[in-house]
Amino acid sequence: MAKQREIDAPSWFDDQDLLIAELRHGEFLPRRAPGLEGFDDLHEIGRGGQAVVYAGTQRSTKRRAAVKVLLDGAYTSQVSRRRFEREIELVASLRHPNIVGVYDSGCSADGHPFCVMEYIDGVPLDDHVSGLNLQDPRDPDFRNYLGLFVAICDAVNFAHQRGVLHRDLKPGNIRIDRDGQPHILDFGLAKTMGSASDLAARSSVSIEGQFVGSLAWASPEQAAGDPDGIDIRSDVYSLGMILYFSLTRGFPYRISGALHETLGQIRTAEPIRPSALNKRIDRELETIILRCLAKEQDRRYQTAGELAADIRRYLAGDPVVARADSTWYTLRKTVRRYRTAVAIGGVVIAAAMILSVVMTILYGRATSAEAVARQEASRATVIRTFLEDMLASADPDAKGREVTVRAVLDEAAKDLETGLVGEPVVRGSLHAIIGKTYRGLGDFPMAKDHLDAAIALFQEQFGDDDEHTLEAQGELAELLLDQSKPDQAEAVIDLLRTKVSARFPVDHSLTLRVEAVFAKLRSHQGRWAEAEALFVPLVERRLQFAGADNKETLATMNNLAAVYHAQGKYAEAEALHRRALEVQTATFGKDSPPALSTMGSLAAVLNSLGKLAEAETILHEQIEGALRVWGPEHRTTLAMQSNLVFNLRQQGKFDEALELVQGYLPIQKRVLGPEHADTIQSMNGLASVYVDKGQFEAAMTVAREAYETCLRVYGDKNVDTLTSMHNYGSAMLKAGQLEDAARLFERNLELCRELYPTDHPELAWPMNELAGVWVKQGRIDAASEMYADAVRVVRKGLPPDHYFLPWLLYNRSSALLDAGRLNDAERDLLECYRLYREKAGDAHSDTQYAIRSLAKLYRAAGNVEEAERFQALVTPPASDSATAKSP
Amino acid sequence: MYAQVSTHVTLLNRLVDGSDLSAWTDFHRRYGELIRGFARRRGAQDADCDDVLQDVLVSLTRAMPQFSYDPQRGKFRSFLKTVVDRAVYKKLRQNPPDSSLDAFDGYDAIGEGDGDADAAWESEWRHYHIRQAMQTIDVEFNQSDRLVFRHYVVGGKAPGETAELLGVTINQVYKAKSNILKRLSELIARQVEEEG
Repeated sequence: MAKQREIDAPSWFDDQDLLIAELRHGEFLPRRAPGLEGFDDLHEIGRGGQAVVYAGTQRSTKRRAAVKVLLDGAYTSQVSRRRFEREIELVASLRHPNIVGVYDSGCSADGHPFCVMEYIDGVPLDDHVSGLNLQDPRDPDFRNYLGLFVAICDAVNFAHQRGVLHRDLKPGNIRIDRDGQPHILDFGLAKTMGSASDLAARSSVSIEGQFVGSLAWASPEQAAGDPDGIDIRSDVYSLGMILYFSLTRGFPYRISGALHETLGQIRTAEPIRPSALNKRIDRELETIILRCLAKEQDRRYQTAGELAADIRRYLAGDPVVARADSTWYTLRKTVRRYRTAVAIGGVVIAAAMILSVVMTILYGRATSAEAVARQEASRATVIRTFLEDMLASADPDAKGREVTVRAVLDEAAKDLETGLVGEPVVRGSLHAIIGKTYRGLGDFPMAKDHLDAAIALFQEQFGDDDEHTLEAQGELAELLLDQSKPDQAEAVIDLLRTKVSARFPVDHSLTLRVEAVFAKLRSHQGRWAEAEALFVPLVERRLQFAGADNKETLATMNNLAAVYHAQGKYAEAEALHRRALEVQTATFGKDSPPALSTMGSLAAVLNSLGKLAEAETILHEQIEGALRVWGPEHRTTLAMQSNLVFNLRQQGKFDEALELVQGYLPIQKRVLGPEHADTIQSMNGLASVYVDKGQFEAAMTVAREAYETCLRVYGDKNVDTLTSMHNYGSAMLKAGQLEDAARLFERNLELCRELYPTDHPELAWPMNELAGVWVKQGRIDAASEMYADAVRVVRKGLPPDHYFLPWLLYNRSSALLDAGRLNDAERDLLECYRLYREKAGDAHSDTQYAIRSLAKLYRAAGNVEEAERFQALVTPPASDSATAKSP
Repeated sequence: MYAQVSTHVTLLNRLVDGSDLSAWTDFHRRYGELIRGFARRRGAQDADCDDVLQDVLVSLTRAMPQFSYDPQRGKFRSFLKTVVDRAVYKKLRQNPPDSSLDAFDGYDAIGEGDGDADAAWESEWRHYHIRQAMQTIDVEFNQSDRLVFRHYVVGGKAPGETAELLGVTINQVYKAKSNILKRLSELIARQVEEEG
């Protein structure tokens, strides 16, 4: 009945002679064991890397036996052979119905050790299990199987009590006979092989061709290759693994990778909860299994007997002894593990950052439904495992090349593309994490791609209103904010808020998350009061649910602090930032991205408070850290330098400031683009520095560019636009374009009043500027009033020792002097002098300025006494004492 | 019970799916000896063969989800060969056979028309097919016929001797041979169509 085929020559299987030739050539006859006497009908029944097993009839006793012949390897030396024989003796003394008996041992004619064992007519455990229905605890198969497992544990315990460890427990080593009784093979034979490489050598097939071999069942201490660390509890671990596999048909870690990866997994990866693979496994049973799989030996059952007892209790319905480990406990450990950021040749892997993303996934959810929590935890575990793989792979390769986070991430993204992970939920989550991490690295296009992919996957799997989809969309909204696209972000957020409020309770983590993004949007838009109202309860709730050392909590704290800052509530802002920084430094380390970011915010607040030198120190620290973590071209590093420029200017260190900004502005333009908010801010900074240095033409050019870009991109009611407007005006003023400057400053102040709350201290600066222009235009009265307003605002909203107050007073006094109102001018100048003197002493240049002006005023007023008094305080400008500081 | 054809197809589908772990065990059972046999022929030591097998399975884990199963003749087989070749080559680079390094240089051509490798692969593949088909034979034929096959066809004993040994007539001996060979041929033909 051969089918017609197109080929001409008969294939080898069509032609009988050819077929027979192949049959004979291929040795399909059973092989006779080399050099083994005393057996009939010996035929090979299995073969592995280290041994071949034959079955046959022992002539002397007429009983069926299995003969395991060890191949070349560790057994050729006298010493090891003697050791092997001693082992056999020990094992042979074990007589237990469930332990395969050893009858004899010896050495074949060609030098291969062998041992003769009881032949078990049955199937290996995994075959037995595949014929059972172990998915459903209500099925009698399930309970029967657990009973079988208890018998196995009892047998193992029996051997332990007589000083024999197995060390290689796995389904392939357990045979189930026709009566359903288990028989454990190969006790103690593994003792001479203690090292990890030996373990690896045995990591492939065993007798029945179990694909995963010994490695998957090996305990962490075995995977670590420490022969002295292996004890009874290692066998307990293997038993737990067998139970895990039987009931879930899966493994708790990825065991199909390269050897070193697998070993790493066994040693460090947290196991996937059995219930994630088989939903019907209940908490108690799961706890029993997980206890066996604990990484530390002390946390497992201390004997196989204890394990058996707990399972018996479970079957009887009694409470089990194993206590569930709190996931928080295991997570804390993981955090500590990553606290020392891995520095590879100067490039720091921001492990804390990535891990904290994972922690966010785990703990950003504060829902009470246990099933959901468990599912999330297991999903997160898979994700965390993936990420840990990703990080673990970031080792310099043999050539010592450095690996950056970027490269690792690209690799992980590729892995995801090749479909290494199958399940859509996990894939979506991984896309989301990878997208978020790219966002953290500043690669917005990549981030968007991955987030889009995550959203698409989730929409497809779960629909538009599902938690996963909504969460990923929240991520996207944040990305849009990062990209300075607040309108797009608002559109997304509006929709999100509607959906979330319709479907989730008020204290659901997703609600909190979306609220947080919404609050960020408001602060991005400069609507501070609204942002504050949103952030304050968010911080409280996060503190409550997730604790202070949770990344989300800390981020929200910082966000709120920034809002305080923007509203001029500097003290609150400083306190909150310091608190966050403390926790972040302790939890993640000083060089961690969250800590660095907070440092910058703190410096900004200190700046606003006038504590300039302190702020400068922190900024330097921060920039050094940023260079280490992100490198010179990252948006964050660039922005930090921009902050430092502002600070240097305020301290009058103009040359340093100019050099700095001329250094990074070109990079920003190239990397972020000329219309990016950060670039514009830097341009503003540069213009300001030019003004400070008196290079007015240059200042005007840059300032105009910045201003026009701002107008184009943001419109006129935006903080950055106003700043650039102000700078432009200053430049114009300095360049002598009085009328234009005046008009610009008037418009600027108008817009500032619309943007900032009434009497906000930030208004003092544009007021000051405008008043100054008016003075130059001769509009003295108007200027005086404006100055008065500015002083009022400063007294109201800034600390009494803030540097701007005397500055303002000085300006006002000048105007008043010009208007001939000497008494008023005197009053201002005296206060100005007092403030400067208190702060910096008579010798300081600012104080000197006040002194000289007072001397001049008194001379003009004809008050010789006072004039002389102040003249005496004048120090000649050439001397160094003006800049001399106290030791 | 032993629908060989669908077993291969469904096995690949299960592997492509990526989430069915027992599919790997099955895959190993099916192709393990083929892969190890080939590796051995190419000079790998016994212990190394297991590494090669492990390596192949790992590579397949990565590649399978993208592998679009196309029941073209020989497609799976040539795909598998590429993977195995690579694994063997890798292994041999690590532990070159004791023979001189000159022999080792010859492995540069692996995967690109190396005559020896092709022959070895073909040979192992044929043995694989026979083994697979024999499993069905073991089920479809009774013990007597199977023993005849073993002693007469494979073992090369004379028909008379076989008949006497097993307590059957010579006619039964000839019949058993004919039936089993025909069935083998059929089974292998179908397998080859599927897998190459």
